[in-house]
Amino acid sequence: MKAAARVLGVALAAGVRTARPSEVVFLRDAFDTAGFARSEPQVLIVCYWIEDAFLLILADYWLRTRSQEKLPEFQPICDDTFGGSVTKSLLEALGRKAATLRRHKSAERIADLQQIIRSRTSIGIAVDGHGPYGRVGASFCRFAERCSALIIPIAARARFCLTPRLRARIAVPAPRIPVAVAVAAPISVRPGESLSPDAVESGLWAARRSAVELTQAPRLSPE
Amino acid sequence: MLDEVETVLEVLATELKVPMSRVRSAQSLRNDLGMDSISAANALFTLEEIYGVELPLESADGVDTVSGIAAVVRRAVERRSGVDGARRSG
Repeated sequence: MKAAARVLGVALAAGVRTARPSEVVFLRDAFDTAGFARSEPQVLIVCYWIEDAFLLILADYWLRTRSQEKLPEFQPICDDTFGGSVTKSLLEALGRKAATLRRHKSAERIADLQQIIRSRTSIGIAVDGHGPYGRVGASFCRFAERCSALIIPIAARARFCLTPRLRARIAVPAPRIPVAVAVAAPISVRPGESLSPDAVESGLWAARRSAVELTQAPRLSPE
Repeated sequence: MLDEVETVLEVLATELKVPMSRVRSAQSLRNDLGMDSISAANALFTLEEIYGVELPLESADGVDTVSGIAAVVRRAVERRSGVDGARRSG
């Protein structure tokens, strides 16, 4: 399974590299605010809906290679399911380092979580990776509390997307369709503070609304 | 070992927000207690703070049970005591 996931990831990466140019618009106002807030040494958790994950990977690559703009520096977390392994392989082929969270053995998963928390690395995580989709779990919030993290809700949208019938809900942009990325106001979790799933969900939907508005802007119309 | 088991039971009960009487040493964190991995990782960090040790889970076998975690804590405490003893005698 690992070899197949790797081959598929590398093939997808080749597709992303050779895709015809597409505009990527990054609404970065909120990220500038987040960057300012990071003058304190706080772990950054970039969170997104799983549906946006592929769009974000594309946008991240296109921004890094074709623009002065950049998404925040973070290490995406992938699990060791087939989809997670494909995503990790795709990210690495595109030059982004990804971390693995082993899913099947709970002891190994705990060890991986320990390692991530200890390393205080900035990470990216799909908050609804295994469903229910569009909902933030209480365990994500406890993880953010443990890290005393600065959470950056981020969303990516394209005007026209395909949604292949996969186990995970993933949006794939149609060719030559601009992609918009938007960041909502960061949520800072101080030591001892609690974080509610509602707060994270609100941030993610706000980012989604901004990204949708950007894709509907006239200058983003397909040529 | 008894002390470690008691402390682990207490920490897990707090993390799970259940009475301590509902947590027993032979129980599986996941199957019996319904604990997810983030809660388990949180409990381990709390134990690290209590004992002042780092709990290494590289050889993660056995940490899926209450008694397994107590054993990991015990080994870490003994290792630290051994290092402290060696430092004192050195």
